[in-house]
Amino acid sequence: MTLRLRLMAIIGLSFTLLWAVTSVWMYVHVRSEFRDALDERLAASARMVAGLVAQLPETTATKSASPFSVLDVVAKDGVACEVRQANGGVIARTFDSPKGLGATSAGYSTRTINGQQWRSYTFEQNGKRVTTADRVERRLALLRNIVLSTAVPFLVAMVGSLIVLWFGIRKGLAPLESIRQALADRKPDATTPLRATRVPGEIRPLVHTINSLLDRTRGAIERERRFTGDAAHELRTPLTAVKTHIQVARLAEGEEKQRSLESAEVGVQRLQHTLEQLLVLARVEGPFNFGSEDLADGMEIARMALDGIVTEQRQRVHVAYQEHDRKVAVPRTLAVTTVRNLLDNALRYSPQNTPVKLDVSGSATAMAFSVLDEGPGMSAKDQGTAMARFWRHGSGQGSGLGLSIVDAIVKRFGGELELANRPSGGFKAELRLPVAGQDD
Amino acid sequence: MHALLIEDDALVASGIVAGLRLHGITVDHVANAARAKAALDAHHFDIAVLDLGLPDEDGMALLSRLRRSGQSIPVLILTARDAVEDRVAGLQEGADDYLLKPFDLTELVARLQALLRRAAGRSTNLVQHGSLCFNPATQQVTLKGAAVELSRRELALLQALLNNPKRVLTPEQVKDSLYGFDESVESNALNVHIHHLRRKLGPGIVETIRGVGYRLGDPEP
Repeated sequence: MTLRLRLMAIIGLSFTLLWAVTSVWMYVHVRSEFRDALDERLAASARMVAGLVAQLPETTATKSASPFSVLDVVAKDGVACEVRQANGGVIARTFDSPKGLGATSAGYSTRTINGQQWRSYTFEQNGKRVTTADRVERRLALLRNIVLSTAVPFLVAMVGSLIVLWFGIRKGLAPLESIRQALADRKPDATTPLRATRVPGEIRPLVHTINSLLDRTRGAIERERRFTGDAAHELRTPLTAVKTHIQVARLAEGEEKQRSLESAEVGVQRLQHTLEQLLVLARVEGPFNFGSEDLADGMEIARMALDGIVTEQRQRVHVAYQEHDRKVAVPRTLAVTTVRNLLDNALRYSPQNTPVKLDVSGSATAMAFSVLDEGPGMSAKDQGTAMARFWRHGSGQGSGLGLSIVDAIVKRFGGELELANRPSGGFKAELRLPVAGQDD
Repeated sequence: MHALLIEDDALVASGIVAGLRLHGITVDHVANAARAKAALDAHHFDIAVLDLGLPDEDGMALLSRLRRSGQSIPVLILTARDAVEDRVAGLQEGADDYLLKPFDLTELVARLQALLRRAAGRSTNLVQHGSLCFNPATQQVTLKGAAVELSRRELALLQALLNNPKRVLTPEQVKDSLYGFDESVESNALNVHIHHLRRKLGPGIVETIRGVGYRLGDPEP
């Protein structure tokens, strides 16, 4: 149901209901007032006739001519009237009054005479009884006329206000409609913000929300595009090296041919490394399950991480291990990858002749792997971007994915990674991975 | 032809340098924008091959800086970024051609030669100079229809002269076309090459303008 129909239904229905109740209430009130007024008139007429009859000389009172002229006064108003003696003899009667009108006691009464309903009032004075009466049917007709003449303008006003309401709601909702139109007219990939000018205060937050959503979408698209571009660059560069060197090897001879083939192989290794890192990243960030993989303890992880490093570099690493029997609650291959990536970075970015320390220590909740080097450390600016994919310090030869992978694994399995320059010089990367429960 | 390769990846650069040298092109390699600018300021190059992802400055920024400073050297952009916008932006910033990594060496060489040809105002690949005919693609020279064997340096010298007809080249400019800037050159080496060229192609091929430099001689019928 559209907002407009909803508003129309809610406001229109309550509007109609309120007016209907009001009109019923008014009708009931008017009817009783009207009845009282007509009754009042009957009584006044009766008293007036009685007064006139009393003033007539006694002799003529029995004649029928004079009293008739008296009754003409009330007959002109459409009131039937009958004057009787106290003993029941009729003295006079208006020509339209039915027989037996006066055969009643004093006061108001409603009776059916000759199939017609009459409302009558009987007044007794000086031995004469004056009865005045209205036809109920005429009273009702009169009431109907009054009700009709007020109901028609009332209905017209009500229909009119419903129409006004319909257009008013439409006009009031116009800003929403214009936003809808603006959104509908956009190209699917448009991410420019909606304009918030000429929008009422209530809708401005909506426009702001839409705009902030668009902003985030634009950010995500931009990141995605950059990632694709970076990935293309990272894969094409070693591929170019391989292809070029192979073509050179085909043209060249002897030592130069050999050198080119070796260079091509270095390129292949780089390509392989980047591809493997990308696959790990995709696995960690993707919807894949690692549930069935083995868990390992801290020592095992450290040893396997070291195994993945070339021998001459491995000799620079000094491991300090604190005995701890709990296993790390991260699949073994991933835990090894995180530690190896941190070691890789430390070895790569610190001078060749300096040692790299790997401290492994466990607590009740986490296993901590600290990698400490004696290199130049990392500037605050670099620490901010170090986790970004394909970011690497200077023109280092890494894939630029090492820390991104560590970060992704830490985020997925609820660990922590802290990067900081050491006060004594060098750099420290502390990785804390959750440990499994005692039973595991 | 003397080319400047501006490429930050050492492995890619060594491949391109070796490949271009095998095609008779003298190549110098720099790994960042600052060195590229310095090299272009100090030496004469016929053409530049520019990688966009440089460590110190974006290749596109370097290109527009070069063009603003009046550097008109033909530039071929070599990059791994394949978005159409990137390519259009590169050409609009003043690049003359665009090649996507990975590429074929032969294509790179052919494009470089085509750019050079255009820069010299020719539309066919064969350079005709009187009865002398030079094919830059195959590096073959014929005189009155007969093939002439020239050494690598002699070919480079001939090409430098043919690419700048009617212009006087200073000895430094000629040397820049023949040698990479890290090669040591004997003081009379240039004279030796000119001597050989005159012997093989006729004395009128190189005209010596005393105290200024050298010029391509008038064509012989």
